[in-house]
Amino acid sequence: MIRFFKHPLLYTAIILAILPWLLPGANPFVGRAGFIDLGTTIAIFALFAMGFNLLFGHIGDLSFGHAMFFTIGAYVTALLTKGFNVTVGSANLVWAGTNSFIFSMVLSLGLVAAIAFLLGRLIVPRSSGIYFSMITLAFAQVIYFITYKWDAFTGGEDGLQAISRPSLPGFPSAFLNESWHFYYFAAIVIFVALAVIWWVIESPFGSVCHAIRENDQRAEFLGYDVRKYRVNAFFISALFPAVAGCLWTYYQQSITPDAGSIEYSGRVVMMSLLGGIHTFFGPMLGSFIYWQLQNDVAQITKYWEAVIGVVFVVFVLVAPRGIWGAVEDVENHGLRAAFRRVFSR
Amino acid sequence: MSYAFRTENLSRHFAGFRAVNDISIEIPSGGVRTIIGPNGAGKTTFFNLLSGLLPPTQGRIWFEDQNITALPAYRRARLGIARSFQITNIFGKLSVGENVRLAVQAVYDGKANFFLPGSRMGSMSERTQQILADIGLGELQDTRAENLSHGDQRRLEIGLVLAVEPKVLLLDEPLAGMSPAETQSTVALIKRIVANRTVILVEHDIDTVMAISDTITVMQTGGILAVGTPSEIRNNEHVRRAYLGDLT
Repeated sequence: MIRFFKHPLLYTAIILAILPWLLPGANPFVGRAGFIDLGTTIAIFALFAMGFNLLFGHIGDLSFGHAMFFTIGAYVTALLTKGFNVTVGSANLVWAGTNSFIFSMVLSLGLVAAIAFLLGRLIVPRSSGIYFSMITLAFAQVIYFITYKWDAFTGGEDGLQAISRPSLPGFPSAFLNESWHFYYFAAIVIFVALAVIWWVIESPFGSVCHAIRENDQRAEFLGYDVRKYRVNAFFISALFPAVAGCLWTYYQQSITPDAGSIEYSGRVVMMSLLGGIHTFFGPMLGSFIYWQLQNDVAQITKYWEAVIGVVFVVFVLVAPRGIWGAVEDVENHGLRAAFRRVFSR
Repeated sequence: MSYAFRTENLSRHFAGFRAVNDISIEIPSGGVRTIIGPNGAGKTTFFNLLSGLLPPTQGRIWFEDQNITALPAYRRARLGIARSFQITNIFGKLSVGENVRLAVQAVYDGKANFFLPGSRMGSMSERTQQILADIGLGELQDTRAENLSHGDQRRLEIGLVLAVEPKVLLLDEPLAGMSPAETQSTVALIKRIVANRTVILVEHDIDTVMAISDTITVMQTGGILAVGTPSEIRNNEHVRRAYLGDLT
């Protein structure tokens, strides 16, 4: 069946288009809003996870702090939309607020780009492996505590509420307040971002990343500046969580410090591993499964996180290359060979 | 250019052990220059110093007329120093063709825009096919490199080294573990590629070394015992006593 949707961007577009109707139990005519909401969450986290996975799955650096870029994008959007009046030292910063999507998106991206640019040059050349994971986690915690503690600016523990959705030129001002309008608006933005990710992975830059993931020493001795690739991959992969964070604020119309927590950083690691880190599409599938499980299991038990944990462990043991990785194995080697690969490990 | 490498008082110590001890040598450019010596003589450490895998404890290294002592490995590779490893070092999970293509593409790193399609970088696929034919793996280009036989993996690594268009090839035991037939074709390959390059070999197969080397350097306990043509080395009393002994 997957041969039919051979081009990943084609099946990504199709899935984004029908996602809210794909969810088990979804009915286009009854209770649509609930599934539209779940679909929006899945799509936004798919972008967050796929951006993160550019670093984790494609060049092989596990960041445990990518939620910092998500939360910066989210807070910048929230503050620009709502406006702020804050005193820093002797300066009084006042902003009245805006409802321009482009403006918020560009500034979210700009701030994240500046931070990722500096942070990448600071930490990537100095660390790899588990040390890199821990340092990214440490920086994410710094951002988390700033959002958590700076009451006057970020709203502290309560975060920021009543953030209006943007108005699009040529559309009525409350157009995006309708759930399914917002879903398709977000889906288009997400699709464009995913197309950029696809383009990066398929470029010569992407193939060098894969080479570094497989054997960084050999890449270095062929003449590749491995450090430069790792710095650049870090920078690029930070941009997509920022876009996702911006959309997340508009979707929720509120933001709390949770968005920058360890839990959010860990969530995209889990989604990527579930779906398959060496694939383009895997993290999106991971996002789908994660939120679908959460949605269903939370109705049965309040210990839904434990259930997801067990499912995660089972998948990692049975399909170590992730679900989409297993699908690719079946496609490339046949069902029997794919089974043998799993159980010979 | 009279020499490929020149070293001056080059040393590398590991926690007090002198793996390479005060070597000052010139390695002439062109031809097959072989380094032999018993296990632990420092041959691989010497290679690691030349190629930039290890920084020296003391001393300096020149490549052609440039002091490369402090250059990182990838910068040395861009100057035209390519190496293979004693333990096969390839991209195991990638296909044979992809392995070679990455090596061909490496020449453009820092020169071309890597976010544009690779087709803009000239005749990359042509070059890739040519290398694959050279090492005799053209028909296996879609195979994952880790699924190749040991001998083919060794040849693929030589292919990677060749693809970056180096001036000097450092080959660390390229014949290790090869069958007689594989050895023969690899020796033929080395003879072909040396035409306009310098090949520096570390090798244990004495018959082959005697047959293909222009000069042989004998190392022992981190230092140089003797340098000469194969026949000079064969007749050198010190070498006979220390190393070749009962072989000749």
